[in-house]
Amino acid sequence: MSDTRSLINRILAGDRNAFRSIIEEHQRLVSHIVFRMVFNQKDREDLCQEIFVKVYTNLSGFHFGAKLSSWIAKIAYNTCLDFLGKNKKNLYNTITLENIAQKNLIAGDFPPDESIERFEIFYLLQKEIEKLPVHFRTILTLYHLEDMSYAEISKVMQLPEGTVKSYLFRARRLLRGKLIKKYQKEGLWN
Amino acid sequence: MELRHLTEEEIQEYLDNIPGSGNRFVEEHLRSCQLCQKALEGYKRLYARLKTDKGFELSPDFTEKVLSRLSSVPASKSRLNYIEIFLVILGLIAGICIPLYFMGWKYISQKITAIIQPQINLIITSWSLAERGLQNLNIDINLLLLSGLTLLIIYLLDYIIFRKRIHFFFY
Repeated sequence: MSDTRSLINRILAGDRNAFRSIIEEHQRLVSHIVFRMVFNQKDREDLCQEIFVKVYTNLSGFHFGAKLSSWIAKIAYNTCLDFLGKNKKNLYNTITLENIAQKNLIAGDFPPDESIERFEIFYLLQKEIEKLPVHFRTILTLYHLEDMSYAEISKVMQLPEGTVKSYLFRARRLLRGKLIKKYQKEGLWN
Repeated sequence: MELRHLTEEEIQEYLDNIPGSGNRFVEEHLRSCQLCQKALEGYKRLYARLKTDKGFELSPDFTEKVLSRLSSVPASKSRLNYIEIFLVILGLIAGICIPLYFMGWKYISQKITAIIQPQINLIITSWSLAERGLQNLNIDINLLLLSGLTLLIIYLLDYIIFRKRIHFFFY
């Protein structure tokens, strides 16, 4: 925490270069939130940039009672919500098997021996996640990818902890239901 | 021992708190029930899949792009600029006290009244003219004000309560 404090004080004193480590440390978090909330590939990187610019301009408003990552996640979440409100055309994704394959080959998710069926399950899961309401998608991301607690997610999304828990359970139940429906017959999913 | 299967919530709670979850009923049931074991395995696989999602790749020069954008935005100000706050307060005190000391309260209040009075008179005249005009049109001004206030309250409630729900259902 003292490192974060001194880093922020350096930025507030005018050292713009010190902001580099904040970007590098939190770009994964921001990209995950943006990826799950906004579907248009072209808009995603612009939004990530905009989020970090907002973080920079509002840094003096950060109080050390909260974690910096939660505060940045809150800015990312609100920025995406505003974007969705203004751009309703982005409600639907253009996800295809090809772009998933390309993305995951880059990220190294699928070793060559990974079966086609498993790849299909991954693809279906992506499609089903994208059909969920934005709150469900964001909670899944913050909980499973960012390891945030209910309390942290509650602060980021300004929702009661009970609601966060309920949305998370419903989202996972829905996803499992869809996967069972599609793959149970082939014995690929329980 | 309870004779029932585990609910999906119980299985998810069990997986969420795996290290020593302490839920003896769940653990004991899982040892003997193949159906719930199967459901648990399904959830385990789902959890694993959800954890491996990499999102999307930002461009390699992403950090540089953000830093270059920062040069065109105003610098973030330090929140601990006590000197600035002190100087503002000092300026305010000086701005009030110096004229009071040299000119006196009576002189200043006369000058302020001379500036404000015409504006107040103008507002009063406009208000009475509007009131008379509405009365000529047989419109109850109190009813009009009440309607305006009701609409304002409805707008505020809509903004505060329903905005988030609209986001939830449509996005």
